[in-house]
Amino acid sequence: MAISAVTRLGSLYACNVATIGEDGCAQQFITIFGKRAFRRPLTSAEATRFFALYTTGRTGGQFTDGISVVIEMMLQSPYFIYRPESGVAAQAGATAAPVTPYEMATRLSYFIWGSMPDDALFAAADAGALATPAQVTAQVQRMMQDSRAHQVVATFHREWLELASALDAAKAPTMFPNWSPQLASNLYGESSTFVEQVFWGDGNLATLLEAPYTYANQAVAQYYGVTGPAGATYTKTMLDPTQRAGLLTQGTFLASHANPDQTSPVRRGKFVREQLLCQTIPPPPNGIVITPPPYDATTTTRNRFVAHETVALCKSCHTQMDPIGFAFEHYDSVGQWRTMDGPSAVDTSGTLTGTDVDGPVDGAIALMRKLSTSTQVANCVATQWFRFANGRTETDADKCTLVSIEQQFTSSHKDMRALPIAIATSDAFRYRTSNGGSP
Amino acid sequence: MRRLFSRRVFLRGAGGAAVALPLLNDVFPSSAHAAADAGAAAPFPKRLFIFFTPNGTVPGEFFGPGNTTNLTLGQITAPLAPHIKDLLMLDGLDNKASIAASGDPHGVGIGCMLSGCKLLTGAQAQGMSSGGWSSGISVDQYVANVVGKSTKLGSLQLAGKLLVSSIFSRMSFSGPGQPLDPYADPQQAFDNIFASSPIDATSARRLALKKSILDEVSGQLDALATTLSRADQNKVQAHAAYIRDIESRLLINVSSSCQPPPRPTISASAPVGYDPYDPNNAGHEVINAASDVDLPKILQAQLDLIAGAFACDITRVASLIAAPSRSDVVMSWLANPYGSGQLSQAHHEMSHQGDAQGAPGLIAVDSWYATQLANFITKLKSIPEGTGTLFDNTVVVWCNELGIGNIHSHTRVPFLLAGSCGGYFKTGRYVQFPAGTPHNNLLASLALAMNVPLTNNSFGDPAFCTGPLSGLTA
Repeated sequence: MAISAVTRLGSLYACNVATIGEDGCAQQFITIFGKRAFRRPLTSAEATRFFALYTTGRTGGQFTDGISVVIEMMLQSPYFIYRPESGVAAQAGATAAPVTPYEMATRLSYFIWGSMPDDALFAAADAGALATPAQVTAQVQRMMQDSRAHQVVATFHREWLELASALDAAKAPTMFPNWSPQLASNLYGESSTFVEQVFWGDGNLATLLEAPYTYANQAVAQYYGVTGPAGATYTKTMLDPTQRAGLLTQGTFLASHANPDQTSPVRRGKFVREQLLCQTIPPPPNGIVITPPPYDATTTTRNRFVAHETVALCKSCHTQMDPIGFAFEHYDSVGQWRTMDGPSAVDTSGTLTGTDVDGPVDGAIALMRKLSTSTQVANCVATQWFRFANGRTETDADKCTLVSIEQQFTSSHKDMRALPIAIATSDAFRYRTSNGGSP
Repeated sequence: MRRLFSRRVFLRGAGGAAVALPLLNDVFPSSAHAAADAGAAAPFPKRLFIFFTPNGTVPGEFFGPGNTTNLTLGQITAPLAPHIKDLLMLDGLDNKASIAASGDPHGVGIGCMLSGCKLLTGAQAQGMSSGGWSSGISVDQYVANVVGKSTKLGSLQLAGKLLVSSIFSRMSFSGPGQPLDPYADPQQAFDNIFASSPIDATSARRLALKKSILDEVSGQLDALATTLSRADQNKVQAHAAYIRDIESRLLINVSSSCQPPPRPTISASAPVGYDPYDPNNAGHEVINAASDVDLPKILQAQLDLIAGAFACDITRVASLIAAPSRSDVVMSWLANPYGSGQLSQAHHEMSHQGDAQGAPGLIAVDSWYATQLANFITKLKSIPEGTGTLFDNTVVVWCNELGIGNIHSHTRVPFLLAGSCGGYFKTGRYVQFPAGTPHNNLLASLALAMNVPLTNNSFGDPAFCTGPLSGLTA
């Protein structure tokens, strides 16, 4: 890396050796490149040591050898590799203190862009202009215009919604001969495009969960059996509104949350519990067989999984998952619509328990409508963003921060784009405590 | 032929007659020690090599059909037949730490493989319940900390496929939560193993500069550590220790009698259309047959480098993750065992087609891996050391993260040893262990075989170790 940086030295840094001399150029380089690498100005002690290191490399070699040594060191430095934060000194009696302006610039840039601060963020940090919520809001709004923000938003949704797991979903080739890595890749493209268009379009959580349309290309339209575009480009395409509503009725989710030869009410239900309701299902107890019951064409999914209702050891957890998962029974292992489950008509009756929208549900569309009105689901989306932004799960100390973020999300009418701003302006994001939680 | 051969080494290579002759071109002149000791009775260093292949096995075809005491090979292990006298088939070991650990069964299988410890909590690969890194040191590192003190590299970690850093693709740990990244690129590996050997004026200057850089970096790490919380301090101090270790080895010169193998011509390239640093790949491979076609050449190159590093005594401990756990390698160079043409299905995919349906594909893949291992053993046998060969002082361990892939079992995990490790193991045998014998016992045996003492006669999590395996030694 250092070698390629030196061969491109001219593009990293222009300096006229004839005017200010090699040493002058080296000092300038250390100051400028050092600030970018460490994401803060160097201390004068650091600058002095780094110049000595340059001299060691220059002696017996060339100017670029000296610079090369400095670059090599900086790219191995813990201040480059890690994001150490010291914060400003807390006032007497205070348990929290703001992060430094440069630390705030770094927090913002890695949250919204997944990369280092740009010149504007450095300038704002130089000027101490990242201190108030209004200043932070303005920066986030500016940064959200950038394509790097689109990448991060896409990353968040892929992680939260487990979209990439469709890419290597294995299916029994004899039962699902049309399933292929190419189809998986097309479905992944469909869901990724859908999420992107919804987030940057109306931004509404309800659209994500209920939209009667998707973004299909030829292969995807064929998969859904609808008239759609020709070619590989994903275009807005209406689906049968009696069969599909939102992300969880798309092939990506359905195929990746299913077994190779049959559906999985367990995995589909677990996803809703954990990813949409932010509830935790404990892992199965040790020493029991967790292999799903073998596929058997002479009976139904419910019958095969009946042990989950009758065996006490299974029941305590599976009553939280399977009754939600059964609502998806119209979709087979690869997510295609079906009306028969083995010898019987599909039964999609399910139940929601332990939520703010409890009650019976019949089918995935009814389920999604319910979930999209749920405050618990909306709060969970806020929590997922909080975890993503802070790189940790929430603690009790974060309660006040989370409530404030949830309120801002609700008052935006669940516009998901309100969440990055609410989080960046939250106390948890702008301050640090000795225990790493919210102040 | 450019490389220097002493007459003695040449004769030894040719002395292998018809078998060794085609390999002559690859014969290393001799191990560094063989040359230095010139046939003296001085003991030679022992070597440990771990060979990992993924996705479980077809037990009958790995362990051999109908074995009780005599060693017979199954279809998978058949390619190792020329070395049958050197094999020690270990049947009935359970990866108990994996059974107790939570997370993706592939990830815990490889994560506990050499450490014998449960995984830390954490989500290395987002979205997947894959657990964190291992909570303890792996046996290769435990051994390397003793036998690798004076060698240029304490240990050598290589891989056949480039993968994002996650528990699915890491097997060696220098301590709790400290995974070691393998080199997946043979050229990069070569440069790190052999580039400065032996040290000349140019490389001496380069090494001196590297030392200045590492001095500065370790100073920064020390200064930073004092400002951090306890947990972060541990991380940074481990980092600093690692840097100091590199620093202390920089100027170790390798015996001038050592002739490195040629720099590999094959370079690992990022799989087409797959960014290994994209966290959304969930830490495991995306099926991509086009990117897999170089695997045979890459594994060949990596195994050659390990043989070379052993021969030059650059390291005494090496591991190769032929493909990561849960691998979806498509071995399109193999004939399709399900029909005509070439094999077109991915490894992990085949492992979930049911035991019977998946078996032909799994046998094809695993017996190919066995062939690579057999060739490697042949190579070690072609490198003279004293009155024998380098292989006499080596033990090779073939391991797998699962027993049966389809059900993700961690019981009856396939383990095969090759080589006596300087006469420590009594080979040419099949050994069946009582049901439920923990594989940590094997890890303990490996440490002892390498003359590295155990603490409390145990390795890894003591809850999963009942002492070294009995009945293996000569």
